[in-house]
Amino acid sequence: MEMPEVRQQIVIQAPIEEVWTFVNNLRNWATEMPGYQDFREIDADHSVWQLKGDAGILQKRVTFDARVTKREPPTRVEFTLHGIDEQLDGAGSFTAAPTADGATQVDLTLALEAGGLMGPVISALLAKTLPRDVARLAVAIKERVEAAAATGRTEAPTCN
Amino acid sequence: MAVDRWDLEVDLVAVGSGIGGLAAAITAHDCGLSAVVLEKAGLLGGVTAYSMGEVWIGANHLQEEAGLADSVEETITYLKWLGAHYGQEELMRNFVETAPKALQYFTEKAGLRLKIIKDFSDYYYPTGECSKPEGRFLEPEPFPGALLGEWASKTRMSPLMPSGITHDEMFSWGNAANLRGWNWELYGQRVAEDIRTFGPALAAYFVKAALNRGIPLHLETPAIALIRDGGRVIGVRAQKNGRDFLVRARRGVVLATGGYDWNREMAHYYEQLPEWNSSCPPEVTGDHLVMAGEVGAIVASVPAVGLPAMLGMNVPGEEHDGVPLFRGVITEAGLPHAILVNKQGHRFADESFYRAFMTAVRTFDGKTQSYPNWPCFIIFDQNHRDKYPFCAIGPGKPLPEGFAVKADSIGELADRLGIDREGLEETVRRYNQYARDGYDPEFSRGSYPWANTFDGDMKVKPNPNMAPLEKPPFWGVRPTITGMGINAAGLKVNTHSQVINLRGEPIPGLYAAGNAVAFLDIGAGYQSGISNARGMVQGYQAALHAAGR
Repeated sequence: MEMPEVRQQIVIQAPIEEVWTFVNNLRNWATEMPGYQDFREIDADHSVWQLKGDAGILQKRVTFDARVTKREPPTRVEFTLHGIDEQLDGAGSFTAAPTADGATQVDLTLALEAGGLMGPVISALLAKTLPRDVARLAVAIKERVEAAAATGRTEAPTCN
Repeated sequence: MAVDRWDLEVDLVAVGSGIGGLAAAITAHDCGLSAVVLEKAGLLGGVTAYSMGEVWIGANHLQEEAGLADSVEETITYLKWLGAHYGQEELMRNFVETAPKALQYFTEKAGLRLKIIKDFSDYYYPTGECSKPEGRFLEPEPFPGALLGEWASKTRMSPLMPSGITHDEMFSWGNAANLRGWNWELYGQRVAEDIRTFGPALAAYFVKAALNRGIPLHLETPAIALIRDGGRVIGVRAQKNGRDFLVRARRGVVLATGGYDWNREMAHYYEQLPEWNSSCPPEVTGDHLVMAGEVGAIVASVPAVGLPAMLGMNVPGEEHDGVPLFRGVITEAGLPHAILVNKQGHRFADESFYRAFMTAVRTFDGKTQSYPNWPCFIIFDQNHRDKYPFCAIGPGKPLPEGFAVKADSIGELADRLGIDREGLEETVRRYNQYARDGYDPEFSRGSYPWANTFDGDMKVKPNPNMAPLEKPPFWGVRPTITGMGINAAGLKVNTHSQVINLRGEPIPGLYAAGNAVAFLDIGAGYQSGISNARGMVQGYQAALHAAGR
């Protein structure tokens, strides 16, 4: 079974630089993911995410090791996800392009695949929930960036 | 309560969208009544969707078609034995006689498709009087979720059941004992295509039948109270979108809200157990007892020992609907290479048969004012971890931190778990010899065919439920007690599913179905599949009575 990849396109009413400021920080992705539980930064390219799965028999918190594999400011970020306590592997990307009217066209992708004995079933369940989750992620990013652009702040607030 | 204006007026209001509420609404519609279903949760299907989807009915038409002999009288004889002669005969006979008719009705009129689970015996076959080796246990045929249209995502799936495959497939692949032998590609393909089985399929068949009839299904609409005119129940005060939603019921209200698993106080009063958790969705909070109690209904109970509270565990991090997910630990101790012991390190029951060990867990010693078998511990070895799942954690997969205690020897494990060391060492030594012999002279472990099929490893000879604990490291867990929504106490009903008041009279306009109803028809015993069958039967006959049939 192929890794279920989901793509979502959105237009964010903000200049590409402001969009980039937001998505360049992986914390902003993690905290807007459906089921977000926790985020721990190791360094700028390496972090640990905890997300709560909501996919049929997979109803648990899963911890992922997330690594940025490519950065091409201000247009592209690629990252990988590796399940620490579950056999789940995935990858995501963000691609941005300015539009003629000063907004930003964004292309999000996210793929997750389960391994192990139950891999085919978990992957099938993920294929059902991933489109919903990526759509929610896209809307959340759009809302956050547009709200931040309106107030001049594109960094996510942090709690230390 | 005087009502100036109803938000909705129908003939029959079904409170709850499990099999009981939906069966009532469907039957009412077919009798020419208007019906509505009010569901507290954001999803349809209730505990039915969480169940194994088994429906246990004796003398059913599928048996007849398959040439499997059975009769109403034999089924009653078995149920009397099963219920330790505690069941009320009039109610029992009504259930046994009505169940095949209701099954045939929903099959012919509502598109329900059940089939006999092959070679799956009654719990107590062959010991129980008139028990049967096959034919009474039914399961849903696979149901394509696409048939539900936009309601597919609003109809519950189960985090507990392998929806996508059938009992027959699961058993033919070796059940839990042989996960590596399962056809995971087929299972994954079915999931991808939203082919539902087990409880999710059973719920889906009834949801589909309700949708086909245009019966309104209101989600997130909890019923709060019954509305009366004189002594008659004439409607329901529910809540919808944060305000009162008053629904008139010209012919009747059917309370099919399930049990009270998530109402800690009720569970404490009625189940009388030292601990309590639940596998049910968190909306199962005993609303039927509150609403019916306010209009004078009597709460009845059967001996709690008869009903299926299970051992269960929460795998750290597993949640559903915002609460911890407790999985029943039913098969784990009954598989080879595992035993169940108390703090003295002694086995106390047949681990392959949950009915046996759960009744033993409830044992109370009045001399010491304590439960001698509680807490209990499942002890297993690395062979068990290598071969079998534990609480849905696959074979060979690491157990999460804090879930289990591990040690290199049985004695060390006993110390770490706080169990008597010598007691456990002696128990394991003795059990290992029994396992090699294939015979358990203390508790007859593995003597029921049901237990062999359900939690045995058919590759293990001579006893599929027994193999020694001999490969280190050794493991131990302390489970909790986990309800399955099938409770000791509930509403008392008559043979028309009318709710009975404290004076022994039916409350006009009020009915109940399924796990909301006390198991007076069965008594001090349980057989998987009865809960779903009762819901279907009681919902069916409530609607017939409300329609004047």
